[in-house]
Amino acid sequence: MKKSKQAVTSTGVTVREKPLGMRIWNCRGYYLMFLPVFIFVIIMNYWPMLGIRYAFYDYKPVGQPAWIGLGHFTKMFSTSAFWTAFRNTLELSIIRLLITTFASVIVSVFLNEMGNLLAKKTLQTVIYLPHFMSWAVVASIFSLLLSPSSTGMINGWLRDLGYIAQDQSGIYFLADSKWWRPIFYTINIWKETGWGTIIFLATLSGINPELYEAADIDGATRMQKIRFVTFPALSNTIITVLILNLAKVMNMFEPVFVLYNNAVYDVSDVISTYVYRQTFAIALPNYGYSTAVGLFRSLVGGILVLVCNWASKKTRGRGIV
Amino acid sequence: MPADMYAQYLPTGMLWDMTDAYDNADFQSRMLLPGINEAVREKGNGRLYGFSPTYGNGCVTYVKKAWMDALGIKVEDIKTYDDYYAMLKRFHDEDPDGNGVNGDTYGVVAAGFIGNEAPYINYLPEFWQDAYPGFIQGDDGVWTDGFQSDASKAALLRLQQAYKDGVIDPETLTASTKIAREKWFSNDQTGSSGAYTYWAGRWYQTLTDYFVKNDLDPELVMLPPIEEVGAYINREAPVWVIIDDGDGDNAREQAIFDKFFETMMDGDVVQTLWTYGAEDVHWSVHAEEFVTNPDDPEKRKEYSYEEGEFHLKLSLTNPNALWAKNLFDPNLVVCELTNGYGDPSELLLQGSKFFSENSKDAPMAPISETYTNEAGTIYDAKLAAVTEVVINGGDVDAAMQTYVSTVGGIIDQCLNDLNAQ
Repeated sequence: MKKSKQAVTSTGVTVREKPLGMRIWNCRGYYLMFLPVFIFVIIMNYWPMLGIRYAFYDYKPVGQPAWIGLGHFTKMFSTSAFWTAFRNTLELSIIRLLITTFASVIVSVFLNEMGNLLAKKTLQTVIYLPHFMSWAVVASIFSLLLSPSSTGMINGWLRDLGYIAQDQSGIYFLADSKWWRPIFYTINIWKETGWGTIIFLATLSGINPELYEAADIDGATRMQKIRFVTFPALSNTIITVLILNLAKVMNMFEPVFVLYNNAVYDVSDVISTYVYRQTFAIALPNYGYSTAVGLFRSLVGGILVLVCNWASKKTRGRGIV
Repeated sequence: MPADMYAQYLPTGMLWDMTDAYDNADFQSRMLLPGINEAVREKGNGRLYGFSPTYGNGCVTYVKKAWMDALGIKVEDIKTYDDYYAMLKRFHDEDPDGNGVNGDTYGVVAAGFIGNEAPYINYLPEFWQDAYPGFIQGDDGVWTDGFQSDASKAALLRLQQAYKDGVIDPETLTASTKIAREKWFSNDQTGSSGAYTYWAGRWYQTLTDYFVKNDLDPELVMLPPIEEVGAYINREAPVWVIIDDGDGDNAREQAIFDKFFETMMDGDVVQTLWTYGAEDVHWSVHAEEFVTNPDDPEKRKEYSYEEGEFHLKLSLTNPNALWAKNLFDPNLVVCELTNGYGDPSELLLQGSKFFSENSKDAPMAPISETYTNEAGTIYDAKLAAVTEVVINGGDVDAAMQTYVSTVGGIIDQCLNDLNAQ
């Protein structure tokens, strides 16, 4: 029989730890419950990771994969379209994160200041709704609104206000490099701000009312209370939200995919859409190349998670993993 | 797969050589258009690695007769590019839809300024004219990049001017064929266009049906090719292939050929399934009567068929129109049906006849392993150049310079592959 380990508690009592096998047997019910989940995770999450090896193969839809070593990575790092996509991924994701977080904070502060409960709840419901619309529907709506043709509402307004001459063609917002990103950020603010206020409103509802009472006694105005009580109380939550979302910056796909087009690849193409086109938009895709790009994206994402974990430990005292 | 995709698969060695199977097939006795698969054979250097059950077909320019009549334009007056452009400009500047507003309509709408599969230019042929923005083999047998030619530059400048003048619907840049089509026959004609270049034959009937459904004047005119175009392009036929499992034994591949391709062209039951669909679901030979648009006295149409009379039934998706076809267009198949089942659509016959009288074959698609691997990258670079010139009004030479600096090395490699063959 295996000798069990001994441990001394803080009160000086020696405790004999039971052998591992006995501990597992004692908790066998829990392990049995966990077993299907474990098998599911192995099959659905870990087994597919074996496909990473194809990043080093020439892998076409038919035929046997052929080893090419670092060939795909050489091609990738020497392709300007890849670097454009990589740069766009970081820029779009980080700026979008900062803007939507900032917007969510401002809206949640204003909601918190609303006295009329009915109005507050109604407004909350209304601003949550866009989050539940699919990106495909959102893209259709905004494509119609922003259409450069005579049916486009925004261009129609601009003509009525005199910003565009009657005989001039409309602004093709979604096909113009200087307009695409502002439009993208605006749509993201419209869609995601409401949902993002949930966590900040939860924090705000937990602020001790005595702090506001003390501020009242000191003669603070409403804006001063917001600045010196509300925002400091939110700061930890803001940092937490930013850190947690920073780890996901490499995953941007759907919002870009439904809104971008070939006229604005230089400012909109991200790694996921670049991989999508390399895989599905050509006659004979090379899955090996797509895998290599995806592997690079995952590596960068993994590094970001570790950086975020370190930042989280520094600011919150505990990591995110 | 489309013909240019077939060309990209050819050098991979993945496709089964079906030459003998094809030459010995039962359907040879019903072959109407042997030339279609002879062209496929020529591409494979005398061996057949794919089978085309239909010929390629192409696009013709349809124009709304009501819009022409509203502006006093006659189709016989549209002979040259200048005539065509003037007509499109009037569609934009004047009020062809009669809603009292000028400038809210366009001349033409299309699904993109340049396509991503050969022949690339079938949706805006009047603007591309003699240009061919792909790899093309000259009469001297030398392959060149047609996109860099003077003809393509001139085409881009025509498109640029047309975009600037509002002659082309600006949403052409991002429109899919579905979106472009639906804009064209939308029941709200604000923002619609007068002309639309789309597939010949069956689509003449289908587009007309959509106009009827949307309460629009359904008369469409097929525009004869303008002088500068000469003839509409008949694309290379799409091809069915069998992947070779590489075991050296043809039994599996032959079985696939027999069970699939032979039956597809059996002239009877299975070919009818491919062409018209399932019996008594999409078509029938039993006596029946039905009515379309029963509540609209102007559009109401009654159909009555006797026992044994082949007819198409009501469409499952649109109860006020007849079912059109399944996969194969009956006017495009290379082998005839022997059971006498035929689509009586007059517009379909007119459309097919018009196209066959006004078409020329598309250039052959290139066969190059480099092109197979880099087609997506080359297409992205072309799109960037087209967008820069047409949408942004940029200089065409500068755009071409950017195109060359982006994919010039790849283009040269493709041309080396092609000219070495």
